[in-house]
Order: sequence, then structure tokens, then C-alpha cells
Amino acid sequence: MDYEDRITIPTPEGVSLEMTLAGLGSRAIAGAIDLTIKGLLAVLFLVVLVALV
Amino acid sequence: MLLALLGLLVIAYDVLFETLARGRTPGKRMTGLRVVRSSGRPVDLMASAIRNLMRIVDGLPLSYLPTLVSVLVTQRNQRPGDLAADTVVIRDRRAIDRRSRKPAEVPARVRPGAGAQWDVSRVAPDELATVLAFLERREGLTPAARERLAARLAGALRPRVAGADETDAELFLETLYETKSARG
Repeated sequence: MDYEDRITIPTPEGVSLEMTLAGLGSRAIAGAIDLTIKGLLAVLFLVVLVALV
Repeated sequence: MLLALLGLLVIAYDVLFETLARGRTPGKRMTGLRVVRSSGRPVDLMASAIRNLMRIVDGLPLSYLPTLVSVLVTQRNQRPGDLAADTVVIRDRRAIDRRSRKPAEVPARVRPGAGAQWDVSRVAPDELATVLAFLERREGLTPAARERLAARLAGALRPRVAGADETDAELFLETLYETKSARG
């Protein structure tokens, strides 16, 4: 049983390219990981800024 | 002023990783995702900038709901930023390959003399060549395709072999090949 979302992209060469779309779950996890890193970067940025000023 | 700098830092993080690491931020890399343009080409600076500037609208904590609905409702799981930049988030091919590469099944062994009672004279040489082509290629097929092909080949050839008592499709094909090629 195939329950993945796929998209098929036709190319000028006549070969169609098939890709599997990311779901909400994995995107949310990716977003949370990135958000954590961004948060740490922001804190680091502020610490450096405070230290300099 | 400070808020603008922080906002720039956050957007620069996404844009830099997406353009320089071929569509993958650290979070996407860890979850096996990649951003590509809907044409399948890698994201360029322009697409990534549009996509991530839209985070001002659709990425703020209070506006998670529209983003969530957008991903669920659109045909290609796109958030508003993806729609604006004409990008899609896909499962990375290498990550998918790693997942679907199951350990190869040990090829079933043909018992000696298994096809001794089979009458293989009605199987043509070109049909035998097709069987061989399948047996050679089967390890490289997806399990579903492999099973489908084996069933189709065995289904077509089994009625032509009098005395065939092997019910497993692949084992039938192997036995048929061994028997037929041994008899010449």
C-alpha cells in the first residue's frame, strides 16, 4: 500500500522525475530543530553584543 | 533596530543553508528533507529569499495554524512561503534510498533433481531468456515489483510445464531455468 505523496515532474529529456513530498510531521520536526539552533544563535549574538557594548 | 537585526540573522540562517547546502538546513538534513523548486531544480538565492521572507507572515508562533492548514490542504504540501517562491519540500532521495534498501533476500536454492519430473519442452528459448533476465535483475528490483514480475512470469509459464509442482513463483522460475538449461 502506497500512502506517500508523490509528484512527477516531466523533463525536456522525456524522463519524468519522481519525488516524494515531505509530510507535516517531518517538516515540523525539521522546523523545531532549526528554531532551536536559531534561538541559540540569537542568544549568542546578544551575548556578543552585550560584551562589546 | 535590535529586533530587525535578529530577524535578519534568522532569515540569513535559512537562506544561507538552503542556497549553499543544496536546499538543506541542519534541521532538514537531520530529518532527511530538502527544498527544491517545483521544477525539481535546486533552490536559488531568489527562491530561498522569497520563501524565507514569507516566514515573517507564516512562521511566527501565533500564525502556525494557517501554515499548518496550508501544508495539509495544498496538493504539494506547500506553506504560503513555498507557494510564493514556487518551491516544494521533498524527502531527500538518498535518505529514501537508505530506508528502502532492505537486506537482499537470500536467493532460494533449487533442490537437486527438483525439476526432474517436469516436461519443459513447451517452453521456448526466448521465454527461457526472459526468465534468466528476471533472475539476474531481481536483486535490483523493489520487493513489490519483484513479486509482481515473478508472479506474472510464473503464471504464464506454469501451465506450459507438465508436472510442475513448485508453488513459489521464484523457486518455480529458478527450477525451470536450471532444468531447461541442463537439458539443452
